Amino acid sequence: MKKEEISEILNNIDTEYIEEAEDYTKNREYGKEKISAGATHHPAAAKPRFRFRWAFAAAALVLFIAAGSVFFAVRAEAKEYNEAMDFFKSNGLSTEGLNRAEIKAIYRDITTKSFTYGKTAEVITNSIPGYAVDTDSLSPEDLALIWEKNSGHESSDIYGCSYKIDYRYQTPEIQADITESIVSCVKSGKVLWETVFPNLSIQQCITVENGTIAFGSTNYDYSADIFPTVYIAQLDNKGAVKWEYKADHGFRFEDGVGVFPKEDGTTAVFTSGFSRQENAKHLCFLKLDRDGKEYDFTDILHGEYGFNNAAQLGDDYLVQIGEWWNTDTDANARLLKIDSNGNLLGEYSYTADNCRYYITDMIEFGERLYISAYAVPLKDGASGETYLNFDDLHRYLEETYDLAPGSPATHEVEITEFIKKHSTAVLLLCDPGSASPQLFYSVKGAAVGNGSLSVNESNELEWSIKSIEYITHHPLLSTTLGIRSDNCKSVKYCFNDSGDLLRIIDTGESVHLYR
Amino acid sequence: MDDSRIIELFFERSEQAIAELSKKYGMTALRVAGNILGSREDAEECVNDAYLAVWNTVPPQSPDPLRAYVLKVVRNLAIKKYEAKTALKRNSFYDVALDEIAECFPAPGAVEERLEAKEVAGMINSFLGTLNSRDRVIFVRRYWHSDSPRTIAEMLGKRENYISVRLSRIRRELRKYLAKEGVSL
Repeated sequence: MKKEEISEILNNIDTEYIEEAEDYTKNREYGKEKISAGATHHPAAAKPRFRFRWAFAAAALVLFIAAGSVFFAVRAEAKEYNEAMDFFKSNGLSTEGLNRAEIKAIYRDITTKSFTYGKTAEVITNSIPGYAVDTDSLSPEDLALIWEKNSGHESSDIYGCSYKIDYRYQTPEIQADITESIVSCVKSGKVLWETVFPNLSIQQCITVENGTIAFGSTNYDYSADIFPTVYIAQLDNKGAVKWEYKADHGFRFEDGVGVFPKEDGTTAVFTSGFSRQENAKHLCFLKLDRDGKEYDFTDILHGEYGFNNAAQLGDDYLVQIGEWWNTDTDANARLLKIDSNGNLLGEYSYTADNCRYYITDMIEFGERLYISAYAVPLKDGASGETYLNFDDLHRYLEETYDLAPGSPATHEVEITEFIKKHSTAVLLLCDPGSASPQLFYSVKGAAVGNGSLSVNESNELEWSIKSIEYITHHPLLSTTLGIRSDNCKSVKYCFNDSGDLLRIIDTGESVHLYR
Repeated sequence: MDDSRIIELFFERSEQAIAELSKKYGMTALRVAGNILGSREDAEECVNDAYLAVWNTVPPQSPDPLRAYVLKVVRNLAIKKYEAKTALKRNSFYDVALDEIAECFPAPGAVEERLEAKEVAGMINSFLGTLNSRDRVIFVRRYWHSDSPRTIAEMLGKRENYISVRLSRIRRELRKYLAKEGVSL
């Protein structure tokens, strides 16, 4: 039975049992051991169903699959032919005198780099003006060389390119179950290459010398008891896979936290592996050689928390450690400093100005490490609580503005002021020596979300903040802890590699703010 | 505020109903969503959506008990959201809880898979009725709320190992029960 169906079954657990579970855990005194109660559910209801219907369904399925196979075969042929025609056109190859099958065969011959099909040599040499050789004398290697030199397919400099990652889904309407990732390398508006990764979710690409490092995760298949793990591939300058790596450290599943290609061609990787026995996540550090083979592995530490971001700090690394549930502690501003051999050097958290900080992103830029976070003031006293929650908002409005209790939907001005006063977007800069973060830049009345730091095409650091403009609080759209707004402005702060603020861009986009 | 008064507020179409609902069950709802989604931001969005769903369904419905109704809505929405994003992010508690209990059900493609979810759900409810309340609570907290054994242990004042052993025994009993009902594995 598939996990989705099991989930649906569990969804139908009786309301009284859900209530009981809530009450029991709220009050440990509860509960004489009563043998209950679920007597209203009779197993007799589960009678075997009519088998004939299944036989009929199976026969229909066979017919459907047979018809489907023919359909897909025809469609696949047409797709390949169209791709081959595009290939001929974009490479200036002539299709004159070639039939449909020959065009496809030549296309396959060139793109697979085998150069063994009889007509390939003639088509290639004919495409080169003034080139006259006896095609019979050309070996596949010769032909490959001629093709490389004359088709504009030599190793190209992909520095300065950007990557576009698209996904195909098994259930596209809800974007569920990725069946393949399509990575395109784009430079100056031109697609340099496109590579398809079947059954893989590629999440990020990094340009390295002579190629690209792509990383993400393998797909899961609950029904086959297959769980995801970290996937890393090195691609060449044409997008062809040179090597692949799949993590296998005995965890239930393993996620990538950060990948750091090194100048010597090796790759350092942080992963987070979940151990079912310990119900804990392990932070692991591993190294891959130039061929993608793992040659070093360190299990740094483990616990009931997540590892959200990793970044390089000189020769060392900083990893953010977070407890998503624990917003009223400094748990979300904890940083681990780890050396290049995977040794834990120290732990830091950033506290200042009687505020609590929530780190959302980290990036290394201009040999400096920047951390994006937002700050919320702590309440007076030693409670350690922040001005985050819904009750505070009511109390604050009622006390400060002498408002009658009730729907705050009409108090937008006061609410906006309150939220702006209690949220500051901060950009922290890590000291390269001590790794201790220091305040670098701050914007009052603003917040930041995940992925707020990036490097743009002009090689500038871009810090995206949510500038609070006008909060229209409505209980129907709030949470226990929350304010939701469509009225934050997305503003970008651009810095050069010396840390100088170059400009502030109002993108004109409205963004949400959750608190 | 009493549940019946909150329901009244919903019937009066007073937005105060949401505020009261949030005050009373918000944290519990957030934990249910958070256990599945593993992200506070996603959990908050999910709870928001659940409030909206409750607003849209009450009236005409007048759920009793209100808490279980709200939590069911939250769980349904959280699972939908989780499935939509599951390829990119995974969550330990929900995945592992499902994985654990999967051993009690027929393997994918097995003949018994033809049984409909509601039929099997009926059997599960009957099975739960045969358990003592503590075991039932452990089962529901683990497989409905997706709480970790450690969390359940803290809630019940027991050791984590005790909870794990109980869960193992309950699953074994469930397998036997389902087999007796004609669901062979």
